[in-house]
This record gives sequence, C-alpha cells and structure tokens, in this order.
Amino acid sequence: MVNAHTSLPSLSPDLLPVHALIEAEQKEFIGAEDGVQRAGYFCAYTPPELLAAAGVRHARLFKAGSPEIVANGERFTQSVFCDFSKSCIGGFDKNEGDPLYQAVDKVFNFHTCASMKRASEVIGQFVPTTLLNLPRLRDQAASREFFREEIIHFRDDIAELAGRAISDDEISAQIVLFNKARRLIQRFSELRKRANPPLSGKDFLELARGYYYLPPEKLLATYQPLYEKLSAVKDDGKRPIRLMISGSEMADGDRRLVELIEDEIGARIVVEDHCTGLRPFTHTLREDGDPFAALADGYLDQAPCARMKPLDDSVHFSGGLAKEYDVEGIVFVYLKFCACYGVTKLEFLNYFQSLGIPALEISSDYSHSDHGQLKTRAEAFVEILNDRRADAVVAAD
Amino acid sequence: MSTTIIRPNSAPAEIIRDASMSKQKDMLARHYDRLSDAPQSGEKVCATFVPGNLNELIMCFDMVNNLPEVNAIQSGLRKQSGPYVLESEKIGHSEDVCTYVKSDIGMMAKGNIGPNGRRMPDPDVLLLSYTGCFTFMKWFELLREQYKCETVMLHTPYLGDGKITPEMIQYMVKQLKQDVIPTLERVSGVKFDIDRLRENLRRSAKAEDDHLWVLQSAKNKPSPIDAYFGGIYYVGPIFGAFRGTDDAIEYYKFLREEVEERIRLGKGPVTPDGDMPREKYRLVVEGPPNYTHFRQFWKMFYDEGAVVVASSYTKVGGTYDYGFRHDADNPLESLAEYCLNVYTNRNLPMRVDMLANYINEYEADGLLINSIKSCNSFSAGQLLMMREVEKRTGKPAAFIETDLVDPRYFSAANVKNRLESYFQMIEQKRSSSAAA
Repeated sequence: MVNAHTSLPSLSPDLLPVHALIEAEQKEFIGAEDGVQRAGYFCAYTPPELLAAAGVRHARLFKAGSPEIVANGERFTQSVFCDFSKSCIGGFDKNEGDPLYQAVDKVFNFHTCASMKRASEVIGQFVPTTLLNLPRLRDQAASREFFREEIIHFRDDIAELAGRAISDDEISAQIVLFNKARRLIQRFSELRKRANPPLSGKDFLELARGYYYLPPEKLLATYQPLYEKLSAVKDDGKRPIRLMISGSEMADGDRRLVELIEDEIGARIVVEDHCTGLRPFTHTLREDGDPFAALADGYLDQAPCARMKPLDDSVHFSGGLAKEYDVEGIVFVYLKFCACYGVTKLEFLNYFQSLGIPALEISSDYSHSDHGQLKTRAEAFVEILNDRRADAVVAAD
Repeated sequence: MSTTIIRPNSAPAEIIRDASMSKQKDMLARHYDRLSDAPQSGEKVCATFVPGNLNELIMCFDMVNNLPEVNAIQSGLRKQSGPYVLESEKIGHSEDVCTYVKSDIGMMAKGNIGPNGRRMPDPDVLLLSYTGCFTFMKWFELLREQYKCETVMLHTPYLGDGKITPEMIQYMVKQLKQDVIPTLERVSGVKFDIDRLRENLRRSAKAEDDHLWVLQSAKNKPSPIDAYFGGIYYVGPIFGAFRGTDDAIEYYKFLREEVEERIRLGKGPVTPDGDMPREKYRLVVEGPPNYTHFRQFWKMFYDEGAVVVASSYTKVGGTYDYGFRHDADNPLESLAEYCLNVYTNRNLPMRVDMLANYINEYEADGLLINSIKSCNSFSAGQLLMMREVEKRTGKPAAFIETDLVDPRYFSAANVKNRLESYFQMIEQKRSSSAAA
C-alpha cells in the first residue's frame, strides 16, 4: 500500500509523467518567488475559471489521508468532524502542516457542509479565508440569481488578492479553456466503458487530480497525446470485475481502497461518483453571454453532491452512472461523520438495490488501522460478483 | 408563586416548578393533543424545525406545526429515546448520525407514538427552513422518503462575513414568494393573506419583548432564573408552535410577572428541588443540554450553587438580544431576517462575540461548553471558541461532552468530576484576584 504523499503511487507507466508534472507544479506553487499570489479552495463547486482569469496560482486543497495531519487538525476540533475536514485544518499547521497549504495566501470556500464551513472558519486563524454561500436548490430562479451575485463577490475578492481588475472577456476565455479540459478528462473516462479499459481507476484519479493543480493549457498539452495513445490501445484481454466507487470525497493521498481493490484483489474501478473522481467532469459550462450567469448555472447544474437538494438528483445520477458504465458492483464509501453521505447512505444503497446492482458499504477514515478488515470485505464482495458472473454465464447457456 | 407537581410513575421524587413552567407544560400538552387530533379535525400538519421556524407563516394557512426535534427532546426527557436510537441503528443508520434524527426515525419505526401517548400524525408538508444545521436538511430527505409528502425548502444564506446583505434578504423573499408560499397554499387549500401574517407578526413582537426581558433578568444578582436549564422551559412556546399567538403573549406576560416577583423577593431560580438557596457561581453555557439525564445534569449545577445566567442554546430559535423583532410592516423581509439571525446561522466570530459579551454583561464567572457528541452544527469549532473567549474575557472556561438524546453518551461521574474541578478553578481564580 503506497501513500501518495510519501512516494510514487502504483500508476501505469503512462501516467508517471502526469504524476511528475503535478508534483513539479506543486513545488512551484510552494517555492516560486515571483510575487504571484496563491489561492486555495476546497470544493468542486468553486469555479477555478475566475482564479485563472485573475492570474493567481491556484490549487484545490484536498490533500488528505495521513493520520498525522488529522491529528494536527484534532487540536481544534472534536469527534464530530470527519477526517477530511480535520486534515484541511491540520494542513495549515505552521509547524507540522503540509507545505502546499502553508504556502497559500488566501482560501476560498463555498459553503458545502457544516464541517467544512466550520473548518474554514478555524483555518481563518492561519490564513485569510472567505466563506461564500452556495444555494442548495438548483432548480429555483432565486438560487441562480443569488449564486450569480456570490460569484461576483468571489470575483471582487480575487481581484483584490491579485491586485488587478478581472475583465469579463478574461473570464469567458477561461470558461472555454476549462471546458476543453473537462471534456478531455470525460473522454478519458469514456475509455473505461471498454470491456478491458486501457487505464485503471488509480490512473483516472491521477488525471482528475491534475485538473486541480495544473493550469488548463499545461494540462491539455500533456493529456491530449496521452489520450491519443490510450485510445489506440486494443480492447482485448480478460474483462475484469467492473466496480464503481460512490460516496464521500476521495482525497489526494487517500488511495488505499482503490489500490487494495485494483492491486491486491484484481478488480477494476471503471467509474467514480464522487467529487474527486469523474463527477465534476460530466458537465460543461455555457460559453456565450454573461460569464457570471454561465458560471452560476454551470456549477449548479453539475452532477450534484449529496449536499444539494433534492437528494433524488444525487441518488439517480449515481445509479445512472453505474448503468452507463455497466458496473457489476458498487462500493459506497463514506467518511465517518460525513453528514452528506453518512446520513443519506440508505437512500443510495436502497436505490442501487432497486437497480439490481450489488453494493458494498464502507465507513472509512484515515486511521489506516482497518486494512485487514477492508481487504476481507472487499475480497468477499468481489468473490460474490465473480459468482454472479459465473451464474449469469450458466443461465445464458 | 411555585407549585408542586407529583410526576407519575417514572419520577424519582417530587419536582418543584414555577407556575409558569406548569403553564408551559399545559400549553405543550394541548399542542400535542391538537396534533394527535389532526386526522379527525382535518387540520393540515406542517413539519418544520425550531431554528428558522416560520410559525407565523404556517398559521396563515390554518396548519398546525410539528417539530421533530422537539419530539426527540420529549422522548429523551421521558427516557424513550434510547430504544428509538437503537431501533434506528438497527435499520442501518450510522452510530455517528445526530441522535435527534435517530430518535425520530426510531419513533416512527415503533409506531410514531408521541409524548402524549397517542399516535403522531403524518405531515402534509415538510417545510425545511434551513438555518445552518446541515443534518436537519438531510433529516427531511429521509422523512420525505418515509411520508412521500410535499417538501419545500427555504435556504438561509450563512453569515460567513458576519453581516446580512440586501441580496440575502432579496434571495429569501424570492424563495418565500416563488416557492414556499405557493406550496403552502397548494397543500392547505388556503390563500395567503399578508394582513393575517402582519397580525401574527405583531403578536410575535409583543411576546418577544417579554421573552427577552425574562432572559435578561439574569443580569440581576442573584439571578432569578436559570437561563439554560430553566431557559429551556422559557423558550418552549416562542421557539415552538406558539410564536404569533395570543397564548404566547399571555404566557410571556405571566412569566415576566413571576420573574419580577422573584427579583422583588431577592430569590434565585426555581430548581426541581425548590428555590436555589445561594448563588455561588454565575456561568455562561454554550451548546445544547443533555436530555436523557436532564434533571441529574441540572442537579450537578444547583447542588454546587451554580446558575447559568446566559446560554447560546436559548438563541437557536431566535436571537433577540441585538434588537431584532418580527416586523409587521416588512413581513416577508422580517421572516428572512429572523432566519438569518438565529444562532446556528452565525459564523464563529459572531458566536465568540456573543459569548464574550454575555460573560461581561451578565458578570459571569466563566464559560462552560457542553459539546454534543452527535451535533455537528453546534460542536464544530467549540474548542477554538473556548480559547478565544478565555483570551478576551480572562475568565476560565471548561469543556464537557455529552449527547442530546442518546443515553449511552452521558457519563455522570465524568461530567460531575469535570464540573467540580471547574468550580474549584473559579474559586482559585477568585482568590488569586482577591490576593492581587
């Protein structure tokens, strides 16, 4: 089991250059002395288009998975926080935090869940932080108007950080660029619909990870040739057991479940319904007209996190994705104390059951103490799926 | 002016209550009977929550208000929540989920029998007025699946910057006009009448004046009330189904007169064991109480002469200290402002300000935080708040951990031990100050 924080992850050789590029970008983020401001954000509902338009360095802050960083965060929290939100706080610790987080000049957080809301208020003691509102009902006109206003506040805040005005044209240009990046990542994912996908779940997570650290121009220049190469791979060989992972955020550094399933058990993650996997790449933004309305509509219309209402949208999206990628089983993973996915897990699991797709429920944290248990449960689940596959073959004969 | 009430069966001893407490209990009992009678009377039922409760609006549609977290509290007080929580976990809800939610779901699974011993009605509409408690939002998703009834949400923007902007008010008024009111009209079959709302709001403002006066009476020495344990009785009508009614006006007038009399006589608060003899410690408390051991918990305070002079929990259903009153001249804007102001919608610095101000204004000896194991909305950030309040006021703070309605998480010996240490710490501070 390898932790992405400490050494090379078990990626396909084709993905290692992408990994190296991301690491280099992070180093530059931390060490560059060119006076360019550095902005961090937590949630997939934050439009990086605006940060890029302002010319500030920016990164999504989702590095987590280390129990030591969780312990740093626990100095300010109680048991009710999930390990991810504790890690977000712990990363900013002046002495034992994460260098990437320590380099950030300003944090922007769109109000997602109660833990992250409070975490960003705690982080305010380490670094200037702006908390912005995110409506929950995306089908209401009032929500869209209000979110557009919040995005304009966001623009003004970034402009202050960057020390310059941001024009509408600059924002529109970034919308076009980020759309290209989203489409390309979506196309990578489409390759996983093949019987024997040319990239693993870990590989895809690395591509998705790059989106949050690399400027889109750099991303496109690197990813396009890789896509050409992978799409040219012949679809032959044995069809692995196909799984979807659904649920809470899977942090950059929390790959242990995916590595366990793919490296140790031999099944394949072909799709993810979580905000650090495929989910944010299933939508694109309108490229004409008022850029603020395009951002407001686009981000509200993206595949919903369970923090949005109605929950049916999230549940049905998840089930739809499982069907679309023809998965044989779903691993529903939620972080302990996650109000988004812990409270609502039954709605998801019941729906998966109604679709006839077996699901394995895993409640997780970053303690690393449950590897054996996880392995036993995942192996048993994959064994059941193998049996189902064998039964289906017999029935077809 | 106190009455002695013998509790049936389960009570270990007589409980002494103020007349106002008995009056409040009667009001609540009547309300529960009204709810139980709803299927026969034909009254439509609107389930909603205490923080952001829009009772004045609900009444405009002749609907009766049902508050699931109050039901969970009642189950906790009656020692029924433990089995309900277990039932809910048996169905598949996680151990770390809010125990209000699990108590409510367990109660439904076991026949939905309310605190009056009668079946609670199914709601006709779920009105989710969201004011910062994320779990409440998800709770209603679960209830909607259960009841298959209409759901409508009012989203209150969080006061991340610590201020209410015109855009926030406009956003909320639009939601009220475009979604909430049309839904309530459709479900109830009653057309919205803004003048009726204005009347309800006028009544609310009147009761709010007396309610605030009572809470602020704790500035007296000795304090005539306990603003946490006693405060829970006092906020019942205004946070629940009575704000905007004549009953609420009458109750708070009655309560105010009762407290005025206690001040005149130089009396401290009434506790379940009678008048508190001597006020030794004045505390500000942050966080909800434990309900499964409510009386035992309270006793740990009054036995030591500790009275709570201000608490944040009594602000979850409305914060009136800073001048807000429901305003009949701006009815929808006023509902929006009410929701924006509730404690759970306030950011961390606003909460710290409030607690530090309470310590100074109420001349408290310190801050006690009762952190709730399963309450994310309240508990998150409390350690930081504790340190900040200590820094600003120079007064000692302490931290205990219990739960809302899960009896497994009330460790009496631990809590008592910590409280005793805390009181010793206050004594120590006092002697050091005196010596200096």
